[in-house]
Formats: sequence, structure tokens, C-alpha cells
Amino acid sequence: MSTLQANAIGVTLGAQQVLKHVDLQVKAGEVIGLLGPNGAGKSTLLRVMARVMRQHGGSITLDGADIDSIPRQALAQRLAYLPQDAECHWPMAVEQVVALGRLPHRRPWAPMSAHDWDRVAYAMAKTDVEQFRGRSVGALSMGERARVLMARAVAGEPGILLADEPVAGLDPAHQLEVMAMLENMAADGAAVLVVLHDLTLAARHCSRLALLAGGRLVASGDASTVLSTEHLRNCFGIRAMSGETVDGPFVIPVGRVKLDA
Amino acid sequence: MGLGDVSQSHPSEGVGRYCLVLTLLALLTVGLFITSLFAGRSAVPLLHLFMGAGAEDPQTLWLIFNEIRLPRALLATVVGATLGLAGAALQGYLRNPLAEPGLVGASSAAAFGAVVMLYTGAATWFPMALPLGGIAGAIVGLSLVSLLAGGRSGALTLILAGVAVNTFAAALTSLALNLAPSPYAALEIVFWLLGSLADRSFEHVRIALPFMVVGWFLLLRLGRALDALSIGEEAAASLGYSLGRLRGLMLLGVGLSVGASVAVSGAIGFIGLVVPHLLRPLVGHRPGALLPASALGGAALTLAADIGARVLSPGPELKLGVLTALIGAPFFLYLLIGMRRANP
Repeated sequence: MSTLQANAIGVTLGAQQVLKHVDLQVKAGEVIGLLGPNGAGKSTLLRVMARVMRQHGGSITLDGADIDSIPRQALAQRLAYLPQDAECHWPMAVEQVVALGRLPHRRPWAPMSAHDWDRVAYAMAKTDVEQFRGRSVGALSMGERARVLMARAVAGEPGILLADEPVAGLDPAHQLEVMAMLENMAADGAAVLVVLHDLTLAARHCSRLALLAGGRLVASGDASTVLSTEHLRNCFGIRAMSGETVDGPFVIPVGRVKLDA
Repeated sequence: MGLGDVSQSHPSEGVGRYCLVLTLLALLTVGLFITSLFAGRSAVPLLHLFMGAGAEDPQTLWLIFNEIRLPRALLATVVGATLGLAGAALQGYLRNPLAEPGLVGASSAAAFGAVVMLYTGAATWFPMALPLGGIAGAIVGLSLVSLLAGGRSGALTLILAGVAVNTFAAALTSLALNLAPSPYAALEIVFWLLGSLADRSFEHVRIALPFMVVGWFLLLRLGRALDALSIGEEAAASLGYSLGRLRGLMLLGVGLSVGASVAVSGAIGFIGLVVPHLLRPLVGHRPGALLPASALGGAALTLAADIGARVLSPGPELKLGVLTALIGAPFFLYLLIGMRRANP
């Protein structure tokens, strides 16, 4: 059971202040949807929280301990980060790519254990990539490759999963499957923070939403609070049609709104 | 040492196949090593030595065997293993199949470092100066290329950075030749630069091997980090690998092993390009798995090329570096054409 907390995070890249004093908490059992227009600082916040990038102000704590005090491997065992650009530089077999997720759990020179292979098989089943097991990742479509890299992150049994646009490039069926998988992981005790652009998916599958705009945390809370008409207009510059169905809420952008200067 | 790299293969399929590849490469290397001991101008007399026949003085034959053939075969093995391993490691690190100690400037910079030691005479009064000069050159050259090209840059940037460092190192080496005190000294340096394993002694093995072994150890240990790097720098960092540490160990590992090997053999190109390329599909494209296989393959190819250098030419013996360049340069062009077809 883990809680990852960002406290007053500030990041400056060149002359631009990308994040300004951002607080965000991700608790075990939650799927937090991180929303915001392009350039809002979502990916930067995820990078900082995954400790692949250093913040210039503020701190990240994991269960109260400063994340910088946790050894790299110990942190990697607990926290998985799925970057935005799904890439694999060599045409390795799918199973080999997923197995990379077990690296933090293996002792030096130790081979993959039966448990390691079990987790790889489980992750492949969850992301629906079992049928590609022995195929080369180079031969897969973009969406298929994205699911393989998702499986890689899941294979490490992370207590915390930070995923940057994991459903980008997926067909609708697999978008729903990935969101359901994130919810399952949270139900099993993981803390999940996921960057999304699809407002309906966010409203429907996340336990809480956080909205970033211009490097600031504008709103956080349930879907009705965060996806208010006002926020959609001011942060995204859109009008949306929203409502409830038996399956849950929906939010459909219907038009652009020009903001007054 | 390579056993850890078997470790990610699936119990049901990968391990058997991977072990088979390593075993075949090891057998090939041993076979070529033995052939190398007996190949050359005095092939038949050396066989007489073991068969107890022939007219030659057995003591002379032992001398040829011990002082010439054995160190030569040993050097071909360890220099080849270094080039194959360093090539595979650089390709994994830069995620670029065109990386190679020669192309990225490590070899020519190491050659310049060694030339300085030969030229100043430092190598005569302190034999270790030769490998140390090579190592220093290789590390400076590699650092420059990695500064110029970085970890994420494409093939073109990398090759341009390599060209820049190669050109500069070659210019400095030419300067040394230009200022050489006598034409004989200059000729000696030129021949040495061509890359050869002829007339090497156990002294060369002794001064270079310790550095190479340390370099090999550093590089083989990087297998898992290179595996992680295949899904990108950020993903690798999130899997617990420090990119700064990886870069440092990489520079040190390649610098020590390639620097020391160039210092005793001159620049032998293309082994580090050809071998990983040929073996990559056989080990399933995983960078960590490629490291030990490429080391064995490099040893085998260098032994074979060195045997070729001795027996192919009826006149003066071919220089090994000349022979590998004659085979390797067309291969490099073939790779480039293949890449152009893939992304026109």
C-alpha cells in the first residue's frame, strides 16, 4: 500500500516555468486521471514523480520518505513509469520486451525465476498481447506495441504506476481494456496516475481527476468538479456536451471557444 | 561471466538456442586458434615438431612456436574479442547498428595516444606507457563523440561526430609523422598504424591484457542496463539504471579495452561493426545477450582474418588492418544501402 505525493513541485526549463508549485497525491486503490491541454506540464510532472527528471523546487515523497533517499533499484521495484513515446530500438521478441519489467526484481546474474515468468505471462494476458509472444516488436502496429510496453510496466508488479497517455493510438476496444486493467490494478492495491486526453474515459474510469493548465494545478476532485463548463472553456478552450448514461458519464467536445484576451 | 546474460531467455526455448550459439562460437574460436598456431610460412616444420620428424632443429621450432605463433594467436583472440565486445556494447548504448570503435573515433584517437608514446620514446623506457596512451586517447575520443552526438541522436549525427574525431585524430597523427626525427621512425609508425599482429611478443600480451580484462568485465556487466535502454532512456532510468553511471562505465570499459588493444595491434577496423551485425539475429536482438556472443565472434573473425593475412599473399605479408578494411568497408556500404531501403 503506497502513497506517492508531490509537494509544491516547481520545474524551470530554459526561461520557461513548466510547473509552478504543484501538489498532487496518488494513494493506493486510486486511479488518478491527469488532464490538461498540450504543454500544460503533465508529462513533466509524471517524469518528476517517477524520478527520471529532477525538480527545481519542492519534493516527492513515497509513504512519507523523500524519494531521493530510496535506492534506485528499491524504487524501481515499487514504481513503474510508462513514458509517452512507445519505442523499442531493437526488434526483440515481445516476451523479451515484457520481461524487461522484471529487471528491478532480479539479483545480479540471477536468471528469470518461474515467478518472474508467471508475472510476464500475467501482464501479457492483461494487456491482450499473448498472441504476439514470440513475434518481433518491430512487426507490430503502433497500438499493439503500446500494449506490449504497457505489459512491460505491469510485469514489475508496481505498487505505483505512472502512465503517460497509455491509450494514445489504441483502438476503442483496447482503450477500454487498458482503462479496465488500470482500475483492476488499483482495486488490487496499486496507486495509478495516468495522463489522458479522452475526457469520457477519464470521467468514467478514474476515481479522481486532476487538471493542469499553464504549469499550475487548476482543479482536482471528482469528474463533475474538474470537467465543469468553466474549466473546459478556460483550460481547453472548448464547449462540451456532457451527461449521464447507464454506463456512466460522457463528455464530448463539440466546439472551440475563443477566449477573451 | 556471460552466464548472467542467458538469464532472460525463456526456459522453454531461448536458453537452449542461445547456449548452442555460444558453444558453436567458442568451438569455432578454439579451432581457429589452433589453426592460427600452425598456419604460416613454416607450417609444415611446425607439424614436424609434434610428429617428431623432419630435419629442422627442434629448438628453433619451439622458439618460433613460443615466441612468435603463440603470442600472435593470443593477441588475435583478445584483440578480436575486445573489438567484437566493444562494438556490440557501443551499438547497444547508442541504439545504433552503425556504432563501432573505429567509426566512432575511439580507435583513431587511441592510435594517436599510442603514437605519442612511441614518438616521445616514453614506450621504450616504460612499456606500460603504450597501452596507457592508447587508453587515454580512446577515452578522450569517445567522450568527444558522445558530447557531439549524445545518446538519442540518429545515425547521421553519430557518424558525423565520428568523422570529426577521426579526422582530428588522423591530423594529429600526421603531424607526429611530419615531425618524425627520421624517415625510418615515420615508416615504423605508418606500418604500426595499418594494424597488424605480426612480430608481437608475450610482452605485448602482458602489457595490454590486464587493461582489456578490466574493460571486458565492465562491459559485460552492463548487459542488463543495455537491455533496459532498448526501450528508451527514461524507461531505463525508471527501471533503476543511472544513465550517468552507465555512460561513465561505458566510456571506461570501451576506453580500457579498445585503448589497450589498439596500442598493441594498431587500428583494426570493422570487426566491431560486422560481428555484432551478423550475430544479432542469432541471439534474438537483445543487446545484453549479444555481448558475450559478439566477443567470441570477434575473436573468431580476427583469428580467421589474421590467418588470411599470412597465407593469402604470395609476396609480403598483408597487414591485418588492411585486410579487415578490405572486407569491412564494402560491408559497411551494404549496411548503409540496407538502411536507406528501410527508410528512404
